[in-house]
Amino acid sequence: MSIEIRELTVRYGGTVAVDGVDLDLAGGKIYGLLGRNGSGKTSLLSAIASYRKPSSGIVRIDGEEAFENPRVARRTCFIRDTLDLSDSDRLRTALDLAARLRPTWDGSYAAHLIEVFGLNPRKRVSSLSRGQRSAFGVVLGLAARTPLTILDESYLGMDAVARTLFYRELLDDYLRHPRTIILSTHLIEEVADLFERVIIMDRGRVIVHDETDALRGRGVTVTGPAEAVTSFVAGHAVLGEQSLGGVRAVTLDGHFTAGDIERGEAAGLSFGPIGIQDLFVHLTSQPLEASR
Amino acid sequence: MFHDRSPIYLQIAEGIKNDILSGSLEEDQQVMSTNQYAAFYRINPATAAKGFAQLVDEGVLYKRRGIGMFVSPDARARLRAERRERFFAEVVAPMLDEAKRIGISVDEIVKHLGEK
Amino acid sequence: MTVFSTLFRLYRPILLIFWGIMLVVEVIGLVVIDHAVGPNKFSFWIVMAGAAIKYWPLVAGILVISLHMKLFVANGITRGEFLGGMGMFAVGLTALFAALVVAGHAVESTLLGALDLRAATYPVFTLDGALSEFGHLLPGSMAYMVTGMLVTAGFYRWNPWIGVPLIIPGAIPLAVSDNLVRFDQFGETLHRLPYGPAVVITLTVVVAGFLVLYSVMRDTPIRRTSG
Repeated sequence: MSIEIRELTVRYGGTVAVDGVDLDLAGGKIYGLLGRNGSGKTSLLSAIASYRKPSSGIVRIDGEEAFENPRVARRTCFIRDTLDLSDSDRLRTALDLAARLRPTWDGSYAAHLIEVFGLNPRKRVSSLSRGQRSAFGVVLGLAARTPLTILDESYLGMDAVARTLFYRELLDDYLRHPRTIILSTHLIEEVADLFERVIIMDRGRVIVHDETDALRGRGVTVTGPAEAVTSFVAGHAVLGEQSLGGVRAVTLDGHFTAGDIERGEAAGLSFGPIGIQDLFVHLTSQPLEASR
Repeated sequence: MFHDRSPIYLQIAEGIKNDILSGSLEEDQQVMSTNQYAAFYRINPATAAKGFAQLVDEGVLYKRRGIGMFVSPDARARLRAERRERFFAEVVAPMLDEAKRIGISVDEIVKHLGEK
Repeated sequence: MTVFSTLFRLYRPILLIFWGIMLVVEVIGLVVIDHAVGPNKFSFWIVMAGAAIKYWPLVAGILVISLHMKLFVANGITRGEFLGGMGMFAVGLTALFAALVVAGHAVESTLLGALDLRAATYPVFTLDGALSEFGHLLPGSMAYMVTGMLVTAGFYRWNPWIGVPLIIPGAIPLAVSDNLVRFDQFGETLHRLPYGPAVVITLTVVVAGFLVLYSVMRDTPIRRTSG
């Protein structure tokens, strides 16, 4: 399902969590939503899923206003890290409820996932470990098979094996049943390959929304004699820099042409690509209080 | 499998080209579908599709409607010609630059290679 | 309809256990009274079940708002749809409870009559009186349930600083029903006002309370489970 967000603001008292965001997400893709703690990821997702009414602005899904819209609600599934369950219920009760209420629910797929993650449907929600709780959230989110599926930090407490199973199931099910999936995460490196597009939030705003592949190799580190580096990078957006003696290393957001690089190398500079994780760190590492 | 310092679709295209050059993919042989490729390498299918589209654009692969993608009959020869051209510019030239910088003469290099 | 039937399904196990326990306590109570006191001066069933049809819906009203709403929203039901279905559930649940009180009274009265264990003050069950009994029990039960919902809504929608003072207006339906329509274990009904106006006023307050609830909860944020 396609999502259209216009001038969305989410406020808690005096705190602005989402600050005038405009965002268009085409349907049928897997999106990665990245951002530091407190950057507004969960608030943005809550507004998209209508868990929270926008303080101002609008969320449209497939062209319709999303808030309190039954057609949109039926086709949207939002799994929060805390899970919206009754702790005293057994897993089976929660699964039955989803089966009753969700027209798109796939019970046999849910059973398959329960087995993959080694969960026991007779157990109570309150008895689950943090990782099992997250795994159960993944079961509910994927088996709902909704055209819009939103998973907010659904890997919390999962060990490396469980996370691998999660990513595998997510991709396999997406290949069989393509739909719009938004996944928020801090663990960029291990999932980036699954994302078609990446959205990076910082202090309530969307600072990057691009193809994941376009971000690979988007950042460049230029290293060399301080003066040569300084004159070479003039006019580019500098993300970070460090100096040691007469050597300066500057990280830039952008591309250089082959000609630029040749010219730079002739001047004694060296160029190195940076990964998505590093780009993310550089883009969002300004102190948080600067915005307050 | 993939690193994230350059776009994966380019890495995919490069990997398939290497397979064609080494002979592990033969001419007119069918290649994996984008979904199979995505599932196998655990990557987003759109990324895989972009890599394949690049190869179709370059004429390395061709599509058969409703069946899939195949290695072009002349792919290997063309890739080889292309790589041979690049070999001197991208492999030999930097080597000669480095040799010059550290005082190794061309004769010395030729002699070294002759011993191999 | 889905919300209505699903809520009943969720409550079915506790309802069965609860009324099962009531039945056991009733039997034990009657045996004890028979041995210790003699003929029944009042209806033991109405003492118990009459209290239960107030406090049970009150607690259910608290739970549907604080616990069940988010379960439905998390499964693709809008707040509006949930609140509508919950309203029907409230009517159904309280009507069921009132009917069970009346039916239990009928059985108790018949049984005690057959065993000659009814004292003069015992409210003998009659078919004519059944409807009046039901009519005096249902509005109170509904009022308690809507009070449970309203009181919880203040805490849910806002926070304890707002929720605590809102308990007072939230309790208006409960207070009105307690003072206007009642049916007790001696079969006494309240006569502060004639039944007609008393019921109209009570139901008006109940409906008004529900409409306030609907408008307050229609755009509430869905709270996170802590932890």
